[in-house]
Amino acid sequence: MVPMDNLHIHHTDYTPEIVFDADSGILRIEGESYHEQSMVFYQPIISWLREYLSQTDRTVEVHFNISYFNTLTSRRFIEMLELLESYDEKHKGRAKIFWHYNSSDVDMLESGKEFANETYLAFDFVPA
Amino acid sequence: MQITQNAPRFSMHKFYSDVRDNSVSLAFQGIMSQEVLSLIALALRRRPDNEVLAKRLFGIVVELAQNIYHYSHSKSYSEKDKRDIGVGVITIGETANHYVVNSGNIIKAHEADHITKRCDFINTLDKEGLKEFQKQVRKEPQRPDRPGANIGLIELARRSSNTLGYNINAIDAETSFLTLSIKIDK
Repeated sequence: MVPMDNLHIHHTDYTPEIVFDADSGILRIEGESYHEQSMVFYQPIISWLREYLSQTDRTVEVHFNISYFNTLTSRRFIEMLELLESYDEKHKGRAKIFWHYNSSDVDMLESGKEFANETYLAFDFVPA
Repeated sequence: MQITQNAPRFSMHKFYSDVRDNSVSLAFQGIMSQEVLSLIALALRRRPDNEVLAKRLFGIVVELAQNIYHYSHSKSYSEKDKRDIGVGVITIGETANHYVVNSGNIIKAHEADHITKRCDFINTLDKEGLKEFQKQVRKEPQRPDRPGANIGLIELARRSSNTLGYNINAIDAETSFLTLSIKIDK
């Protein structure tokens, strides 16, 4: 099997930085996310994740560190969480989600909890 | 004395009075491009002092602008995006107790019924009801022929903690003008 390349996408005003490290299994999404066509931005990221999870069996940590996301983005996050949930079921608890938020941002904490409620994945909430 | 030399049809004076009387601090008409949103984000970040409120306000602007981007019946070709993008108008104003974000755009007349029903239904829901409804719709697959997430109106009601204000005026047999008015407590 061909080893996966890391995925690194620089941030813009309306799309987050993506740093997916295949070797360490640490995947980070950081910044703002309000692309008007979330599919255009997230499709390659979701494809990378799907491919990666099909070839690895290591512990995978996904760090969401988002200051703002729109409703279209939330649909893409749900799709990513679904992929991670299947992986976690197959490999017995090897996917972990870290939800980073600014400690004064009650909305972002609530959003994270709502995602957590929609999946069996372990969510760690990390205030900054 | 009235001075009318090459008088424009657009009255800057009326516009000035309208925006001043409604404390409108930001008004934009045109293609709701990504760049416009980023500029509005920059402008909003400087105020209000409350960071959570500023972000809620921005979230409301984003969802309204993206409704226009995807669903406005009036579209204009964007050279940069190489596609047609919805055209509309957005204003941010305030009263003593609220910030008010309004959006306006042309819709097809037959869409009025669906929008009215959706807004009326959302306005019957309380905080928990809105949360559950959003969760339920978000789980449904995205509609194949519609680019939006189908949860924008619910998000507007949740973020604003107020009912959705809307108004639909017929323009002609085929088109109507939709105004959405979202207020958020200061």
